[in-house]
Amino acid sequence: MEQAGRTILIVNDETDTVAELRTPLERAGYAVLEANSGDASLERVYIEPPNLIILDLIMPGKTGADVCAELKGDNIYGHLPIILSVPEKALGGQINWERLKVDDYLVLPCSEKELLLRTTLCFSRASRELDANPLTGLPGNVTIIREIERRVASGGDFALAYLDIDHFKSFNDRYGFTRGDEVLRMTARVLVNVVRGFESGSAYVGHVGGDDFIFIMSPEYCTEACEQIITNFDQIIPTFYDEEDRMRGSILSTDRRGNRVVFPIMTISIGLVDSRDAEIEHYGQASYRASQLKSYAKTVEGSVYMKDRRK
Amino acid sequence: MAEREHSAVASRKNDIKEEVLKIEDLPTLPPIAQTLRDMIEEPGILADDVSLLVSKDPALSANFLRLVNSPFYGFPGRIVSVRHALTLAGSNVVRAAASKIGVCITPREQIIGLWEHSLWVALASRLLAERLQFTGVDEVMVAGLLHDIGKVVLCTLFVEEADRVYRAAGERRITVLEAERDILDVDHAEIGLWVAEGWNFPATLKEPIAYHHEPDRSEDRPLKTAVVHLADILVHSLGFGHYGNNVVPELQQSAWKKLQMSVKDLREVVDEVDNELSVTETALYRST
Repeated sequence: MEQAGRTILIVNDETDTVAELRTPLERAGYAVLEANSGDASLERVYIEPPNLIILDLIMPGKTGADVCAELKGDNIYGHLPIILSVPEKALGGQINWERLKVDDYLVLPCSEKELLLRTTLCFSRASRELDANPLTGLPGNVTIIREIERRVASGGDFALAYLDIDHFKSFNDRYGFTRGDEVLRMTARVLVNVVRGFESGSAYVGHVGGDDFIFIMSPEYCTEACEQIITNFDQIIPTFYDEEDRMRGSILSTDRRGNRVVFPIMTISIGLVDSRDAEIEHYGQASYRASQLKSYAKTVEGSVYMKDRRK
Repeated sequence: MAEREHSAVASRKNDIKEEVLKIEDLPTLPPIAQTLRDMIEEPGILADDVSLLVSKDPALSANFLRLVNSPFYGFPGRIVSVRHALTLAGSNVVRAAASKIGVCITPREQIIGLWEHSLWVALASRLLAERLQFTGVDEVMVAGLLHDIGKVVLCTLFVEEADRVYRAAGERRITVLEAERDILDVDHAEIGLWVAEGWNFPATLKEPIAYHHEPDRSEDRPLKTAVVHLADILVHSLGFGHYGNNVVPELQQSAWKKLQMSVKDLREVVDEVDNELSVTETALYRST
């Protein structure tokens, strides 16, 4: 096992427990960090992300569940594996394990063997999951469909936005897919930060694939969110080009027939469906309508969003 | 004897490098830290206010640029602008970073002088870049703000060494750069380069940091490096923002030629710089 260089953060307000966990982990070769409260742990994680967190459920102030909710809702920090440590009596209690989004749990006190085995398994599981969604850490199609179905079924108002990047392919061709991937990660981060900035709990961002993304939020702020996404993307994207292309404001390339073609700096197109304006009975209607509007948005030059106005 | 002294100095350089590579984040001036903490206490963080404050502070700017340029975020070495860095970090991360920010214990006048100098060079770089019609004027400004990041490291985390350097520079009427080379066997430009490389800073920041005294060495960003070089010298010669001695570093003729600027344009920029550099911009550094 290659424990070397792997850092585990123990979050626990009880000094004795921290010491009991720390010793065997360090002996096994992990580097161990500590935080004695939920707030302290978030500060640490955001600035110096560890590779795994052993998080105690019961702490004064921000509990383990609070910390977990904040981290797991974030596209970058969300794939840090978390083992929730709980006392035996908490297992039968009122914890909603499905909503917690922890990767595993550990009943304390526990044996050294169990601690190390759980840790090892958590690492290997996390790496497998990361392989399945390696680029942005955002949920993919299966969960996106499920989320839209859930919103339709619940009958509440929501806005669904379908977004893609214009001229992404020409950027990829010119600079290679590694540089293209950087653009996708940046775009995902802009989306997550803007959408969660309006609604930290219920907003949802998904990565359909390639340069296609969706987000779902309450209709109230959705146009404002689109405007902010466009502003942020348009401001940041030029720095992803080399100086020469950036100064010219475009990429020069040749098509298959050898003709010179000019591709402008990337922009984004967003199609926006408001459940109050469109009659939506199942997820297919919502996503079809959103992608139609997006295609319409693509016919307009520059970064734009198009909203449904059928009623 | 002489040889032993030399090896002691050389090993001091290695010690400094080892410590520099371990730095997690840079501390700032107490009033800035306090203002930032007050800002994040407010329920809705005002992104523009935070951005304005951070862009006046070389240490805070460097910390945020380090964060978003780390491989963890997935686009290492791409982000130059402080505003972009804050947008990509997001409000939760900004809040956490702000509450964790350290405060430096360096003698007040020395550190305020360095912060003022950094901001003035940032403004002068911006005005020059505007005049020369560069793309990414804001980025040249960040490069100006961070050009002396090696000095920021020395003055905040190597307080004793910095003190010896400044004292020697003052007593012997030599530049700080010469005093650093003499006493530490390494200068702030090289220390800045270690930081810029270790923190995955883009070339637009790295080259002006490393080569603002020797702009000819810049390969990827020769014009931006030349601008920061010129801005540094302008600010020194106008007598703004320095601590202790003010021996003006030498203007490199080749850099001046590279910019193809008319003397008339330069004169006008000097006037603009003179008008814009006012104490109100940096009053915050001195508030208690």
